[in-house]
Amino acid sequence: MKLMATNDEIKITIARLEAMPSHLKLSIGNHGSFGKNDLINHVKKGDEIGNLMTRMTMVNLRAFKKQV
Amino acid sequence: MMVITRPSYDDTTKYLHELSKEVISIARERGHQVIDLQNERSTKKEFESVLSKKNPRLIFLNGHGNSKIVTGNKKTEILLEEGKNEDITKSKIVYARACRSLSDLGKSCVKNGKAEAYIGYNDDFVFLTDDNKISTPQDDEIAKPFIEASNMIPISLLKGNTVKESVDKSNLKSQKLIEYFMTYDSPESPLIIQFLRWNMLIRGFCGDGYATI
Repeated sequence: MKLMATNDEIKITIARLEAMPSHLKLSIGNHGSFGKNDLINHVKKGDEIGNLMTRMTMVNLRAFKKQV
Repeated sequence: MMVITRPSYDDTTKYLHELSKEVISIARERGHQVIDLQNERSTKKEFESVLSKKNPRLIFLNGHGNSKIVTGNKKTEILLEEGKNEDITKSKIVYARACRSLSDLGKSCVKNGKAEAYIGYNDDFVFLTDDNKISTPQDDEIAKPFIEASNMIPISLLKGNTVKESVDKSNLKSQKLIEYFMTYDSPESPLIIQFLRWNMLIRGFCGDGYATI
């Protein structure tokens, strides 16, 4: 079961996405390709793409924390 | 012999279509026959026909998917589906560069379809692209690390390595790329690292890890 993102996780994810260069797009499987603003909107909505984005962000941060 | 499916009808599949060419070249250089089901040939009818008549050892699927299917030339063109036609993967090694199919379809291919091994992803496979290079994926340096890491699997298999070794090599490649981008100061680097790490985490296999082609 995929848990809903917490408010803090959402804030962190949005903060990281704010730094995403505008020429980049993220291809997410069946869902399509998304730029920074699209991704931020999805994260705010808390929909499937938004939750995926938050999960990917938190997984990365936890892995980084372990390395440090 | 390797069968590869390469649809090309949206941005994602266009990238996979273009950047899979490296795998095809290496396969042919190493003397493997390649049946390239690209574009409108990525249909269920052609796929099943080729598998039945040619009996390839390696199936390399590029496309969209979910936990139960992998698709071909359009999202409604289902090439492989849990509970429907896993038996066509019998005795084969499958690598599906598609979202989520490892979790259910992959396991079913091995358990019920008697595939020797199924390599794929347990969640959504993602990659970054440079919007300025969308019409020339081969020149997209942002997408390159993601495709390089995932191309490593079929390339390693074609070189005679086992399923497990090939997945490990792909993950090692991902790790080395992550380490590179950790020291490469660019605005893209943090996101490249994040998504390389994600793909590495969700990549895996089921079946016989010692299988080779």
